[in-house]
Amino acid sequence: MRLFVRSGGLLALLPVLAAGCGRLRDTVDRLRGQPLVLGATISPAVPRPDLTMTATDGRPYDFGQRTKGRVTFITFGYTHCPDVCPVHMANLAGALKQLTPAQRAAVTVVFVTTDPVRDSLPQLRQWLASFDTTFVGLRGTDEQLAAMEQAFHIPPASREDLPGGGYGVSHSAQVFAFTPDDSAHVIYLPGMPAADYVHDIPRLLRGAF
Amino acid sequence: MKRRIGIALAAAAAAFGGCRVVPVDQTGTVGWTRGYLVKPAAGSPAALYLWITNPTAHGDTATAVRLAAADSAQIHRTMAMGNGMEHMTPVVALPIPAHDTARFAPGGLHVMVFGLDSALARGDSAQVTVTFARAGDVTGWAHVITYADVDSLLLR
Ligand SMILES: [Cu+2]
Repeated sequence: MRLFVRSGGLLALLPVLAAGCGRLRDTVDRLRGQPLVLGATISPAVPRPDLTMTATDGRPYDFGQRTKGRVTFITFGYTHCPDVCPVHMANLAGALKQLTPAQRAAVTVVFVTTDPVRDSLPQLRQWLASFDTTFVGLRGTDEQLAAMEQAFHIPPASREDLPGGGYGVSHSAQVFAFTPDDSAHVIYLPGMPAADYVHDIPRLLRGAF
Repeated sequence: MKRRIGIALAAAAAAFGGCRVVPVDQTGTVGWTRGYLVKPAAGSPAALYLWITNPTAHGDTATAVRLAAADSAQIHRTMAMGNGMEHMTPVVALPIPAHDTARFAPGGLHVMVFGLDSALARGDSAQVTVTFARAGDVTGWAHVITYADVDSLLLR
């Protein structure tokens, strides 16, 4: 900002400011070499995959088509997960509550189960609804899940038995964030607080990362 | 209370019994300073996070956890495997070195709690007993919270 004040260009920039103060700040931050988002940027970016799984309403969900052009957070996990998955979902839900209605309407959150044996569609629906009723839950055949994991270059989830009967599922723990350019350039690691998502979402909506 | 009486008795023994030295570790006992039990979403296992402190001069080991309101509980550790994968392994014995604290937190140590009484609500307290190799059974409480509370209570 100060850069422009000094050069006397502020008045000329007023319409630009009105149009999008955020974009100006993005440019300044970019010029300063500062990261625009608190999430980690990945390169190469992951292209939005055109893959179909089943949503919790039992209907096919074409991920590529349904989320096209939208800021989309997608993560893999299982509902019996004690901390990584529910904390991601709770923090995303907490962040969405702090957005403007317009921003909120422009964001989709998708959870892909890596435990289709225990995560029936109703179980998935009930679990997601405890965080946010708009969260999309996807479940697929082994082949569909494997294709989805491959699209994100993540190792396949694997089942690990626990003493006493149950089992855990080792799975990729990051949240991928797609921007309107239909690529995921940014990921969020476990423990990302809601405030950091609140910081990043307006930038992701502008395609700034 | 029982501990205070124990210390008082030991002090009395030291005063009246002659040369009995009160061990350093009786100035405090193994226990937890924070306990949060996260109410599960949709019948999933619950997670319990404790900050177990060992103010004594001797290392101790937590070997088991049980809750009055649950079927069973196990100490687990979530580990990042370096390739973005998270992996959960049971911890059969958790060493708590002398003068040290084991801080359970998401992405690290947790107690996985199976069959938690669904009547427990946010704001309730749940009774927890941790078994230690030296200190034996230590019973205390954990606050019942929800996953929405984890951000402010356990990730800061
Ligand atoms: Cu666990």
